[in-house]
Amino acid sequence: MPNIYDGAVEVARRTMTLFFVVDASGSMDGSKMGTLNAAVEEVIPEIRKISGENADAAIKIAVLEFSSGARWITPAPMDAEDFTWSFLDADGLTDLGEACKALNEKLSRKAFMSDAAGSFAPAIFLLSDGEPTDDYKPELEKLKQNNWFRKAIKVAVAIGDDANRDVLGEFTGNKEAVLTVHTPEALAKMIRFVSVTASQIGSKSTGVGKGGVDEAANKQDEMVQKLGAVQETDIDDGDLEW
Amino acid sequence: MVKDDFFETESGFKALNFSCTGASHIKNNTVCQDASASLNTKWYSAAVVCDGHGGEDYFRSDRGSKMAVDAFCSCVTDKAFVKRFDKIESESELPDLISQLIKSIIFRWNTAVESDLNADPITEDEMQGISDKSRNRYDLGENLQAIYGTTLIGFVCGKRRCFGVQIGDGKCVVANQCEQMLQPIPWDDTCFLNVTTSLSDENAYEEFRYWYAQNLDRDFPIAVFLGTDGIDDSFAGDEKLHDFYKLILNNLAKSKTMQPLEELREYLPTLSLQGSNDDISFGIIFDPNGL
Amino acid sequence: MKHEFQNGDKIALRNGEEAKVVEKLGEGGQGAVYKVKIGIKEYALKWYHIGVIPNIKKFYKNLENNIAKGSPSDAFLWPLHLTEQAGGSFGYVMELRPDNYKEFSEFLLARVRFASLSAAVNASLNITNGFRELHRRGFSYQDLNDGNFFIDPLNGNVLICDNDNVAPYGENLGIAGKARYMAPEVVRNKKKPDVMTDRFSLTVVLFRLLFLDHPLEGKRVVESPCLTEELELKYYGKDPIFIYDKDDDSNRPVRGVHPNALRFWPLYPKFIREKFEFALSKDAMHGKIARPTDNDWQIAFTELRSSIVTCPCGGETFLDLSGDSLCVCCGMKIPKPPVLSLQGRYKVALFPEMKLYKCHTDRDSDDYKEIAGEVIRNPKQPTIWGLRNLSDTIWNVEYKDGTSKILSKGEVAVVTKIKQIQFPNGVGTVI
Repeated sequence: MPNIYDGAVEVARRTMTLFFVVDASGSMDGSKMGTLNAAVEEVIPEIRKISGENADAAIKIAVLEFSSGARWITPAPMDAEDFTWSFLDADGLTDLGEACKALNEKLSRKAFMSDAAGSFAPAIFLLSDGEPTDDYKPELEKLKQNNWFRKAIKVAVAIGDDANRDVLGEFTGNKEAVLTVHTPEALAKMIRFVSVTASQIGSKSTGVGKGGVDEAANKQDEMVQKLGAVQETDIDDGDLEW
Repeated sequence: MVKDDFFETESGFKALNFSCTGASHIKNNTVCQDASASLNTKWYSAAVVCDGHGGEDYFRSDRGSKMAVDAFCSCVTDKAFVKRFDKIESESELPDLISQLIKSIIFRWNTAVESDLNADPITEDEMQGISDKSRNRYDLGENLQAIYGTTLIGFVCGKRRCFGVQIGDGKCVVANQCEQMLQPIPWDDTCFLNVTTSLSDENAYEEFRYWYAQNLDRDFPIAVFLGTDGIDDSFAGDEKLHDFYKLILNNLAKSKTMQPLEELREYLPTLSLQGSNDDISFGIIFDPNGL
Repeated sequence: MKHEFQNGDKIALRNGEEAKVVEKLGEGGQGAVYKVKIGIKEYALKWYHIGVIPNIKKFYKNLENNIAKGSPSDAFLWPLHLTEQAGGSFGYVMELRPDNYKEFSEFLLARVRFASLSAAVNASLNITNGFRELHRRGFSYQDLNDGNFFIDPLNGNVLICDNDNVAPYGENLGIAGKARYMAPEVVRNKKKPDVMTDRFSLTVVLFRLLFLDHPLEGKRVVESPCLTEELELKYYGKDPIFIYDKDDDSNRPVRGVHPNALRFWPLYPKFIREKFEFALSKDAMHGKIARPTDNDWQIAFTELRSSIVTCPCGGETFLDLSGDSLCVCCGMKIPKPPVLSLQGRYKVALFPEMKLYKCHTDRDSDDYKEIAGEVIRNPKQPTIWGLRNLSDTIWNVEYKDGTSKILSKGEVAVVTKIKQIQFPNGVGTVI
């Protein structure tokens, strides 16, 4: 006999949101942006697969691009199943502070984390190739007070030698969570690896409870451990062409 | 079901409870960490739900949640407590009564844990999967109570007075006389994502929150819903959770029997599967004549 | 019945002056407190609700007496002026309480914390001394509880308020006191509040200042989910048991419920714990042995203050004067420093930043506030410590090697060399 609640109740799966925070400044123009666009587009189907197969959580994607100012490409986090990557253009400055501000605004129960009942810590993936051009420190400090940000898995990829790895380290809170790539292949590989790994770790259900054991710290540690194993090995200075 | 039975109550309320093992635990062959109970007496109806933390570091939390349920029940059925609760003249007497109740619950729970530890010391086998951080503390004998860690939400509805107590996550929703759905017990911001305060905490008494109805015309419940986070994690936001509870009340009002609750019991495993995947405990106290 | 004053109302005082109401500050069971202006200065004025005073004539006369006698010490917010009687009631004027003072009950609810151990111990010292002065002038407080005094969390300065219930020894104004602070014999209705019962209340206040939790509330008291009147009478009157009673552990603090007692009790030096064990022993509570006097407590807390030092790790800890100590913050070992035994009554560790007070150097003084000397580190060689004379008197220091040094104000003697110090009216010996 059919149950009166079956179908009448709007049940939601727990969600994990994967944030792509992308530097779309002028210096990214050309093959860097081209590679990034292609790499992310390729990795989306893999993320969809993980989301579909994952009993623990559904994966959502949100994209924030920053150059002169910051803009959300996704007005709200989208189900991986429904998400398609729109190619980004590169132009302008590198307003990392604006990006932090935008992130801080949306990392809240009232905004992007409204499905909070049952959410997992988000994963934040920052991709940048240069120096911030705005006064990013105050906004980054504020962002660091945000509970969601603190619990998030944070990884940054420094694209090329001009990227300021120290600043990226400040963002992730951990120098080992900053990876450097010099070639398009390495960039593509890193995007795939981080997205897939973050989705897997982030959406896994583990222990609960206080009593001194902070679960989110373990997830960030786990991510860092896995990253350590996949550092780029083939840096060939002479071969750099961007 | 005989229709007349539905409207008969001893105290003006009926209370029921269900617990079911979560989909992920069924898959891993883990035992259910939740526990719950309900009481119907001539002075009040009460319900309590407890969620053991689970996970490798809290490997006896299934026992802990049962002990918490027992502690709550033994306290609210204590003769002196019942007598006092029944004789309350004004709401201003409730804070002292509730504070003492909370202290006693914590005491009884800690005593039960101590007895269990003495009767059944922890084995190396049990310590197998725990994290290094926890191992360091447990090896020193520190905070062993965390192994039994659990949350607790308990509510008591009497003829003219009612109150709820809570430590940890999970939600208590009250449908009041004005047909509003509210969560009156203050929320603790330290309960964030899957971090929660616990009955095993060293300052558990400070961390407990409570609420009691003051403006009886407005605040007094028609129904109270208690749920561990296995339920609220299956809904995208409070509104959807409240909708679910409203659905249950509407079904009860329409059918005028307990059948909707029977079906709810059968539905809970599905809810876990489609939603949180977590253990679910549900408690309901409602006034059949007020629906 | 209450009378509500509006801003701008004028209240006539007995001395002919007028108090103009500025605003209402608060209200309690007995009356309401207003901010008023007399001339150009602002004060506080308490006005009683009608019907709360059992014997108005007696009460009014008592207030008059208290005002005339003046405040026992600067730790009291003492009544200054009486108002004329009006509308069946009256009030009195006192100084305004400065903002930095917080109500003791805020400390107990952990909404306010002491800035340091020294501040907590200072507060204990100040309250004890306040009551000593009060009792010496022949008064008893009668209603000591966590609502009547205010403390500056930074330094432990204290302001004792609600002094309207203060009455001469032997007289009773009919106020019973607050439960949990009342002496067992008062709870049992065997006695009315007086100096002896004040001492019990003082002991409870002192215990709570240091340990926050109530000294009579442990396991036993939380066993039952409901404290009936019968149980209250038993736990606070007929059969009270100290949570750390030396021989009876049936009322020990409970994990999860009394975390402060559990945490802080073991940190304090043995001698102060023994003092509480004595003051709250069954015999003392039942009146079979005499409770410690105010002076006993004052000496004990002066001693306690002299055992607080700052560990190199930056945290405060207690020194055990009989041997080495472990810092309660970082666990580092602090070797036993030289100890100066004074007048056979006090022991002071000669450790950097330690102060000597007048009560230490002068056998006839019990002034625990005036600084007479301090221990300092040599600026160029910090491992060498010196004792500097900060008083206006001359000290005669005898060194271990037989030599001696005359120390006038500002001069320093090397600590490790000291054998004995002759003060004008006292002696200190290094033990």
